[in-house]
Amino acid sequence: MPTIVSVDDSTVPGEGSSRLLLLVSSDNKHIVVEEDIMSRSRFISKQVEGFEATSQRHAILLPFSSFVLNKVIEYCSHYRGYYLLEDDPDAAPPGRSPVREWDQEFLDVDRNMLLRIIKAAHYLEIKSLVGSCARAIADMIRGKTTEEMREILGVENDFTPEEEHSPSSKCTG
Amino acid sequence: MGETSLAPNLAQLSVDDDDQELSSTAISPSLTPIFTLPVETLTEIFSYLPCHIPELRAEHGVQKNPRWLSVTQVCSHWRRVAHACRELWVVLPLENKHWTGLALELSHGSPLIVNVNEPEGVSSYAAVSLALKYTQQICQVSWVASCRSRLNRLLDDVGPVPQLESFTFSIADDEINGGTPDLTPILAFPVLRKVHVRGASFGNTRPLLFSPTVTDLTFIDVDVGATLADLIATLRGLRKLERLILRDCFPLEPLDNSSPLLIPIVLPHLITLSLSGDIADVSDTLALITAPACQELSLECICFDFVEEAIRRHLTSMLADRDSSSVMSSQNSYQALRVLSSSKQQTYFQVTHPLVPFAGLPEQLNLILHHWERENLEREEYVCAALPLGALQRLNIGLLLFKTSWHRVFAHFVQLHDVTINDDTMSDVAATPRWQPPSPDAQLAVIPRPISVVVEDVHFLSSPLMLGLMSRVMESGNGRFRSLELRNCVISPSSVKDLQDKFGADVVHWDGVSGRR
Repeated sequence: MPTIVSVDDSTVPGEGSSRLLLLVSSDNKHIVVEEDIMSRSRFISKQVEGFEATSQRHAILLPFSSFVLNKVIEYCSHYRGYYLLEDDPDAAPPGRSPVREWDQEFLDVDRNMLLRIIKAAHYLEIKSLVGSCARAIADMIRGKTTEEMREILGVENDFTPEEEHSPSSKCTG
Repeated sequence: MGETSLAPNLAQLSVDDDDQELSSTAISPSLTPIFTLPVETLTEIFSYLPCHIPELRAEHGVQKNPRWLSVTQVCSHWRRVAHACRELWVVLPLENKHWTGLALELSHGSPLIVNVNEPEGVSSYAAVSLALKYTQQICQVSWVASCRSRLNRLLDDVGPVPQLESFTFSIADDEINGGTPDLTPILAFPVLRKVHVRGASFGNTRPLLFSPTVTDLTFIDVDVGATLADLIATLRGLRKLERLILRDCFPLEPLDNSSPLLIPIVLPHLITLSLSGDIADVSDTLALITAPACQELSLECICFDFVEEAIRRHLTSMLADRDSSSVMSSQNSYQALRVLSSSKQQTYFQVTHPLVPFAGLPEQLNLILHHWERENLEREEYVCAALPLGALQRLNIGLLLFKTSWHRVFAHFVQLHDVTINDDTMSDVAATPRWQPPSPDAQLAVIPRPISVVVEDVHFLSSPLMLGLMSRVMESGNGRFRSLELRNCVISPSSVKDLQDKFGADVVHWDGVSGRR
């Protein structure tokens, strides 16, 4: 669904050549960020392309909290100007990308935060961040038993006993 | 800030509020954070789970279940996603036939990988042989066997495996009386390209002679019973070999006066030759391998007392006489010499530094320095002390960690004009290498008069970084600078265009294909 609302020119700083975006989080926090920083997001880029067809300025409403949004902006700011293969829409799908050391530290957060970040990255279509988060989550559960996986990620077992121990069975649940 | 005009629209937004998510675990499992992930995101998480690269050091703990497939038993949603995730099933689980059959069905014809690390019991061999016999899709096998002799039976039991490209075999323990395997099973793999053997005597390597497709051969921890003559005879048949690694295989039985004369072999396509071992004399081996196309010679943790003269002879004579038509002279066409080090050898190196034998080498040598230890402060002193001051003209650096800056090192090489910054491509994710974003601008700023710079295999370049690098290089080059070459780097076309617009298309050269693999 579209997440754009019209705003007055006066609501957005950055008149003239400076390209600024107004991002609005689900907790109604307004965050102004340079367009260049967020250009890694295919979602944002597509929105901005839409803006250019009209003379109106816009804000982009996003379905996650300012806390999560700020983390994403931190990520995009860190890689501002850097070319990451995963984020190039014209590039062939990359193989397994190298582990970026900074990402590992950046994603050293609790489970819920990690899941929120990956959801936000998916929504914003930042493939490099989705990949790094996915790797981090996979690292959390790799080698764990089924029970441990459930406990780590807060998943409830909805199998019948027969289904649970028959991994090939098609699920009805 | 225009909140008034935004408020009505905000109210209409359909959002999955994070705070609500946090408390939702007690309410409904379908609202837990992990459950709300899009299917494609969960699929991507699952795709990272299989263990593609097995730990070859066999351990006695036997793991009966393919742990990554436990995701199919977590909940019904995960099972549905897992069943649709092809990447999850390409590493064939052989623990029981139920899992195997499921993987064959759900991998949908993708090339399959078999990893068996089961030193206990007989199921290891049974699993490998059954998989190879009945599954034509297998392209890669890594097998840690519990018994050496099992390898010998494989060919009889399995027959041809048409798509197998990579075969890794290692021995689980220090078994002494398990029989000596040979590599006969390799004959069953008609398109085999990569052979990796660890911990086994290769008493009969002759089957390799009949596998001319092999381009990549690695022997690690091979029993010392093998002779140099065996090795040379095997290599003689591998005309397509591009990469040869012999690690901890030495000492092979040394040649002595009574040994028959061995004729050097020519490996025309060999690009990389790596010889390593704790204390070894590789002189004889090195002297018997002629590799006219070799670009990289890697000598790691080797006793340089022994190898010194061989290296000197190879490098100096060839570089001085490249046009000679004799076999021996072409032996020394190495374009680069890579000297690696390892922390476990620190004590040894304190006695004899690896670079000392190379002092006095021709200045045409392109010296590659990689993976030096940050902690060893003496290394940079060694570099300066071992090389003829001022003679070095070409230097290739990468992942090279001096505690102090490069300034002191570069300051000694007043004639240095060709520099390659090489950050090794990290294709092996499981190795989790230390990733060090390069700072080439800082390093190159102190090179006295650079003429050309090559940036190679760097996966972390930005337009501002490269613009800064070029500006500094142009300044320090005093107008002599003529070429920046970008090879196999991940950099956007627009960044390259920025560089070419600013510094000229005749100066900035890009291979144009990397970054879009």
